Amino acid sequence: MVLTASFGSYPRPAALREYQIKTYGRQKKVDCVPTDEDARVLTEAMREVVGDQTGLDIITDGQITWDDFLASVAAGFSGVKMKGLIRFYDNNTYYRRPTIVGEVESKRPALKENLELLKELNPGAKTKAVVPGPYSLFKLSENKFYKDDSECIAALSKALESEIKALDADYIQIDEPSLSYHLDKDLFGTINNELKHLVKAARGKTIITTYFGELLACVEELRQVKADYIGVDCVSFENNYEVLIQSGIKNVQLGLLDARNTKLEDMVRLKDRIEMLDSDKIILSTNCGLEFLPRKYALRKIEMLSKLGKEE
Amino acid sequence: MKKILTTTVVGSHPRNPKVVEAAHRLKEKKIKQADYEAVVHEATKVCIDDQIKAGIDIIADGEQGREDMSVFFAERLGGFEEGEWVRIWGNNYFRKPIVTSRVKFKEPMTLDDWKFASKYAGKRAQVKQMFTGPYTMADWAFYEEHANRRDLTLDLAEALAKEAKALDKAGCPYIQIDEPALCTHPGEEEMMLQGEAIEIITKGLKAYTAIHVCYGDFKMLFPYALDFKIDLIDLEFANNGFRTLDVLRQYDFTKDLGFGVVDVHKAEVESVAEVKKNIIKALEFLKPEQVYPKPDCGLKLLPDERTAFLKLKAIGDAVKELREELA
Repeated sequence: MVLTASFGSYPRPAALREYQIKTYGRQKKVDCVPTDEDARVLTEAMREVVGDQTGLDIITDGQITWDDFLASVAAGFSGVKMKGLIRFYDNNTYYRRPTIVGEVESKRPALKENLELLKELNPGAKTKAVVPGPYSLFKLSENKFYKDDSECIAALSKALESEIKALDADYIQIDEPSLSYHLDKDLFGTINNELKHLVKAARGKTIITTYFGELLACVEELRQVKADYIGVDCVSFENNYEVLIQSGIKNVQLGLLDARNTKLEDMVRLKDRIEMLDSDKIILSTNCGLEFLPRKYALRKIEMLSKLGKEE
Repeated sequence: MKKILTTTVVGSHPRNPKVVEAAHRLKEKKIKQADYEAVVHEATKVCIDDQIKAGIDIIADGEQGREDMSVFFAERLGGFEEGEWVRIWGNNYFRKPIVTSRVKFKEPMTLDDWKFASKYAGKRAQVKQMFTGPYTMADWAFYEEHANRRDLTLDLAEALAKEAKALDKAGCPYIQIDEPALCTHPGEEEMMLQGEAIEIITKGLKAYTAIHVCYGDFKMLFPYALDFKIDLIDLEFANNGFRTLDVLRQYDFTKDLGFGVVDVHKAEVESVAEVKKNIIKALEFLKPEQVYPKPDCGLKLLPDERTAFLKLKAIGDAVKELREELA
């Protein structure tokens, strides 16, 4: 069966964008306590994000309050300070780098609030919650506390486990762009072990996603990862799709549409790619979150995805 | 004999508040283009006088008329459409341009600014001109028409080569290609693409040529950048604790080096002694003729003109002392 899913992030609706700038300036501080007005604006924005995802089988909260892209969740952990801006993978986007200065712990699950709001507004689709994977969060951060990398990854994973346990969604997506972007193979044993814990802790079906990177660099490892679905970005590297076909991985969240360019894909080519995979366990999606596009164009990608899903 | 420790800038100055206001009024059609240009010219004069007073040898117009380094060119090249808001960080967004047809050079985009600045500076200083390079223009845009980013980059290189030629023909002595996006995508293929794009632009130019790169891990530039058809490689150093020098040391660095000795992300002004110490770090393995001390990046991020001036003066004063000591 072919399902269609929103990947994760989504462009902030104009009213939220303008409100955030007006209220919090260029960068919202980490410890701002949400006001009633914040909640009202967020609810309206979420309503728009939900509306835009009409036609998809699986929807998300759009990560519309994530100020630091995938690193955002670390802002709520004890032992972490958000420091200077650095580049988010190979994008012209930047985030405050989490700097680990003490024992990392989840103070209170932060991701469930927006999920609850999404569920409240959801017209009947399945929901997906997104969390960063422990390896990617480790690579996005600077460790100044733990004596070795494995220990740091394990600590981050434990904090993420608290987040995951609090998420009551149909699908839990664990984002691991770093697996394909810059995998340190010596750490894979630790990473895979932690991913196993997180998959076990998840209440919904699990998707472990890679993106931005070259699949060839991690395909052997990815075959060992156990989750309901493995996410693959078939756009960022030309040969990722071929590598996927050869890998034998069949339970795929297939990132076929480019969420980093406005150009719409050729439907015939996309259909060929779906058929060639020859699998009955596919979730169709974009290669990464849609936040990299202006909303008008993000919506076009969703519409195309929805059409593709209906025709398959 | 070539001058030692030629001082220069990267290009931009903090945007004069009068220019910001005039730009706003122009958009609202409350003033005419000529009125706006007059305000830009007055602000440019201040930038030029400040740079000369600070002891900078090769100066720039301060980019007072450029609101954004990508949008400015996208608005003036054929093939681009105005984009819509995309988030860059926190609550910061930019209108990411969209290339909807083949990119085309229409008319010189920076020539008038250079002519004005050059005339005003007169014999007091040489004036360079900068434009955003093809790699960055492509990376900071969406594209509908081109098959891929490589195709777009090379198309942009052809268009921007015409800009460089126009500047060269007018007598601009120093042409700089700004490529802040160059360290975005790692890999040999990317660096080879940049090399190809640069060659398209610099081929046949009489002017001295430079590439400015900022933001990112400069390790990925080398050794490829050493083969770029360019005279000078301009990088940030002060804001990364001069770690990039360790990278350069590994190679036979035969190009000239635009050497960032003051940090443009900090408002605090470096002392002359500190700047001297910074410059000496490069002299440990490069000849003084090869080293061009300058701020890390454009000065537009600094809070005001005064801070920009003081940072430049620290460079000017440090070089003055070093030239005497090295003579």
